[in-house]
Amino acid sequence: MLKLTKTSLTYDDTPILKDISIDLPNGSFNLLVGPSGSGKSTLMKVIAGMIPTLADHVTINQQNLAGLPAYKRAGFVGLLFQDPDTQFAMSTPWEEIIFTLENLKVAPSEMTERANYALDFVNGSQFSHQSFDTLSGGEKQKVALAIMVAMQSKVLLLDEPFASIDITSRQEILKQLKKLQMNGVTILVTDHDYSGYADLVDDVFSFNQQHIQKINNLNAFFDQPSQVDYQFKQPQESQSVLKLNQFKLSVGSRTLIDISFFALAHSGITLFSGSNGSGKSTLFNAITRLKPYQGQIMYLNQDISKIKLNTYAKKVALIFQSAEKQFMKMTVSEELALSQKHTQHPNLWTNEAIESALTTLQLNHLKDHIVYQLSGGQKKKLQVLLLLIIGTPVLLLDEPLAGLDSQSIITVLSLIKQTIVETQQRIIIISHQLNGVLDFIDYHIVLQNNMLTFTETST
Amino acid sequence: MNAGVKFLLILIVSLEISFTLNFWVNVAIIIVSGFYLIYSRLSWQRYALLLLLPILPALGAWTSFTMHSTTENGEQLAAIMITRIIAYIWLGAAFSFTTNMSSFLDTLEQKCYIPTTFIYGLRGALSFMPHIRQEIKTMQQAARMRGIILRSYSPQLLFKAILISLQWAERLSTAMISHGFTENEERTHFLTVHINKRDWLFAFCLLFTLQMIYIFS
Repeated sequence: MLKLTKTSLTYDDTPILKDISIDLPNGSFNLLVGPSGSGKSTLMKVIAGMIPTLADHVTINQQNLAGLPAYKRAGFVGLLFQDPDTQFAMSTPWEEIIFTLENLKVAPSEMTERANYALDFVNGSQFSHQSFDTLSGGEKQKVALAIMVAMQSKVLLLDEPFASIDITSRQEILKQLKKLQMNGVTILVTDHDYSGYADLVDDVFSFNQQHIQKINNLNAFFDQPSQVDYQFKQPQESQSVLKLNQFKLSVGSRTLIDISFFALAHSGITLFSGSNGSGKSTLFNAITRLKPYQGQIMYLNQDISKIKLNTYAKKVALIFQSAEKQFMKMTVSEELALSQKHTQHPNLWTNEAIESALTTLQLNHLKDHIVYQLSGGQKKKLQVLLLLIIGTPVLLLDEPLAGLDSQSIITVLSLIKQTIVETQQRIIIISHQLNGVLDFIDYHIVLQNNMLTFTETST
Repeated sequence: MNAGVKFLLILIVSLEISFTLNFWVNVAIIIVSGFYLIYSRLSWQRYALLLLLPILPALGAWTSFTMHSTTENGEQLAAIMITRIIAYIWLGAAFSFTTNMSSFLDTLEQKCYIPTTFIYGLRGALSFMPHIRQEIKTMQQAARMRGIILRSYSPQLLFKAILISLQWAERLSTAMISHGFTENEERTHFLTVHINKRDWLFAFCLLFTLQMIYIFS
């Protein structure tokens, strides 16, 4: 039994947790839901005993986590983070697992067997000696899970583990989690997307406004309208502004895209999907000239490698997965002022317009806050707004919705939609999160078998 | 040769030549480290670098000791200085160009009992190095998209770089702790480092020979 008793936490005068208690029986599968920025990640860290001052509020099988050194704590509780890139200290999965086992003082003679078992469990043996740099987000999350398996933790906490990974990997990992639960492991997952959980979970907890509440009627909770079938248009090639000619893109020895011709960036919003590691982000990096490629990328019939970087950055911009990369100033209002100064649509982005956008995004009370101290969701919303204000003719968004709750997703997409009606910007979005997104989409590109195609369906 | 023994040997030798003025000792060091570098089969670019690198400091030493020397034996001193420069550079290369850092750190951890916090901090830093160039390029491009041009000397770029390193350090330590790493706690070792007696003997012989040259030349 995991017990968290009467825990409160205040950070900078902002209450995050208020008198929270939670009991999870051994071998139960639990889902934790709540709006982005509500403090779910903090709660997970508290339960994992990673906030030392609160560790004495957590007990697992009568063992209090306070004062327990990290190598002993790992046997009780493991935490899997939201961002696949932040969980490893070594350079390959194998090294990371061995590092972990060494920390836990496992006898060297047992290590090979335990590491192999864990890697096989997540189907990860084939990439166990590859550098983490060459693995996709989904593969990294599988490795992270394998490490929890190798640690033999009694409780597994997963903080938005699927935020940026594809459906296939998600289903695979969920299946393996169920298997772990059958073996007596207690599981607590936070997720914004409830699909696939109905048959798995024992309990759902809702976390909101510093309080936690168990949901009594699970059937009603999961009984959401099934997805409508969407039909997208086939765009006209002549309407596009970006063209790929004899284009080839690879990472190491792996070919990601190999195509003789493809035209993209049409007016409106294009969804860009494809399974994990297929090369969607890498294509965005090639288009924004961050990664080398073979062949030609044309912007309005001009080879982009011949356009000055500074000029090109005013035509095609990217909303990076990591929001902080794009922050240039300290406070929210300074950032907004900077974007307003460089906007290509000064008539549209007046002070009033920015103010109203801030209000819809629920950022208006944060103007004097340091951008680096905002929550993950708030950073993301601010970053989207900042780049939207700049108003480049083409705007690429790499997983802008990861970690946003369903209400925020709709607000962000509505804001984009309203803006581009005025600015005629061309938007391409990579998103694994499709709930609530499809209503806003005009075209749909799929990357599959190294090919790019426009499809008319949503799957 | 074990990385730790090699490190110790090179450290002792370089300390010794910084306190002594002996032409033949320097030449002996150059010959031994030269042979070792050839035996290690480096790329031709590295050999070219090792030949080119000493030229400028050697020229400097030569001119300053022959033209501005107040003593009689200026040319003799210059020869010692030049051989010393080459000896230092090649000794350094004999360590840094031929040693697997990971096994060196393993030795430091298991044989020299250097605190694990320090060892794994270094390991993390080494794995971060290859990403720095790409990170800077990304930062510059991200800034361009916000209408700001970050030159390589711009303080804003430095600020972002420091911020990224701080975050990266924080991330690294969280990742390590969540995988059971405990500061200065004993760990088991998947690969145990053994130092061959032969390595010690070889190192001792080299040092002994060097002392003989020093005494008899």
